Amino acid sequence: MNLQNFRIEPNAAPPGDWYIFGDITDDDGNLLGTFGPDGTSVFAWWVQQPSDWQLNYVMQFSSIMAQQIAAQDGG
Amino acid sequence: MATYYVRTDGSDSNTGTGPGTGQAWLTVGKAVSATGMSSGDTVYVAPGVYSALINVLMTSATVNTYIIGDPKALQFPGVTPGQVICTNYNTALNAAGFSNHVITGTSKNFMYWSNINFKFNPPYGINVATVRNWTFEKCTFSNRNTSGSLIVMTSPASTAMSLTINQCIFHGGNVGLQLTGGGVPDTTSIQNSVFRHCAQAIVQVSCQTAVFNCLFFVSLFAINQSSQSLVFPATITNCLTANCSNDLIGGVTGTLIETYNRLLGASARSNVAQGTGSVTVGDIGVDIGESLLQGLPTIAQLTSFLSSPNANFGTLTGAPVTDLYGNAWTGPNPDAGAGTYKTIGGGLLTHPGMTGGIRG
Repeated sequence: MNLQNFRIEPNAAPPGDWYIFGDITDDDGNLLGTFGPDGTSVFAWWVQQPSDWQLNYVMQFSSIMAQQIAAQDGG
Repeated sequence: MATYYVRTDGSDSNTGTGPGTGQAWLTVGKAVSATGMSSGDTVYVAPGVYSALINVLMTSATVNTYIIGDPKALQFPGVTPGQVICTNYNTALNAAGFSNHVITGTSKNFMYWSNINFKFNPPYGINVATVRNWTFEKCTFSNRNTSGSLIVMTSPASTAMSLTINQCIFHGGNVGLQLTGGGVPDTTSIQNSVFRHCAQAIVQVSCQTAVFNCLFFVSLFAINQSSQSLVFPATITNCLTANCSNDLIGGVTGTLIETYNRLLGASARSNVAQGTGSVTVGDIGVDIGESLLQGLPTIAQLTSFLSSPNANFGTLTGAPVTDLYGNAWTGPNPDAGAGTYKTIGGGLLTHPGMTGGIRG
């Protein structure tokens, strides 16, 4: 799988959201799908995923968040 | 060109001109200080753990200036062979040492490091700015988590970085190799190296790199690139990537040219055109411990196993003639990845590339 014309843009409202644009192709260049002409909102897509799938990624976020919190608290 | 020596029981008050305890320096930092080496000199570093900042303060070199780890203690009679470790942990490597990068420097060129293992207490690493013509050969860089980058390097404005990475192993960290070039044609070469467990292996901005025969076992991106030129694109050839969310990310299609790679991550290419001879499906093809586990002729982990799909996969054009360990490729063409099939005699620590001399 490949991504062509790929780019990510911030969404001003709500802040913190991102829009992903691009074409999804196979190795022969055949178009498998796209993120849509207006892109796909990370926030909108995220809430559509199963909770157990979300939990897997939140677990990964937790250690990253902890590192950031500790770094800020530790100066 | 003078030769100097560093050993763990030396003294920075010594002259540094002999290998004995009464002659050798104590720290690598002394060797690269304003009162240490000059351009073109060589310093040999004895086995041991060196827990002190290496701040490059010498007058910038104009030819290669060598900092050579001597793990076999060939230059140090009576010293027991062992790793040469530079770290910001303590000397026991079981607690924090000092809170800084292990190597720092600004506008210091032609520094050539070899046979040194850099062990970083995160978020620190090697952090040098506006430098060019550095070389790391047969070095390892490790970080126990994903905080901080292993090597961060910027080149002088509008100047080629001309960095050489050869036969090195990068382990852990947020970014393995973070390069910001001068936005000009560049001879930076990264070859015969392994990047594993880095969140991102190589992040390159405005830096033309030629990557050959590297193995990428990373979690997010093997190469993440931006601000590269269509006129002098970066290249990646004969490499193996796996366990990545995205293997190759180009800023714009045409700025990263890939050929003869085995790109096995979830998304092989983003803004990168499919290159000649590349595939995106198949087994990783490298030993993950099975040869030793099951009593087969032992090979180094992460090198191609017998009849691997990596064997003879690459192109000869521009490729290194030997692999990470200095072994000739088993087939007429190079393997994909950094290590070819080669059984190990006498134990896992055999390092064929070391037999020809310290500089290999």
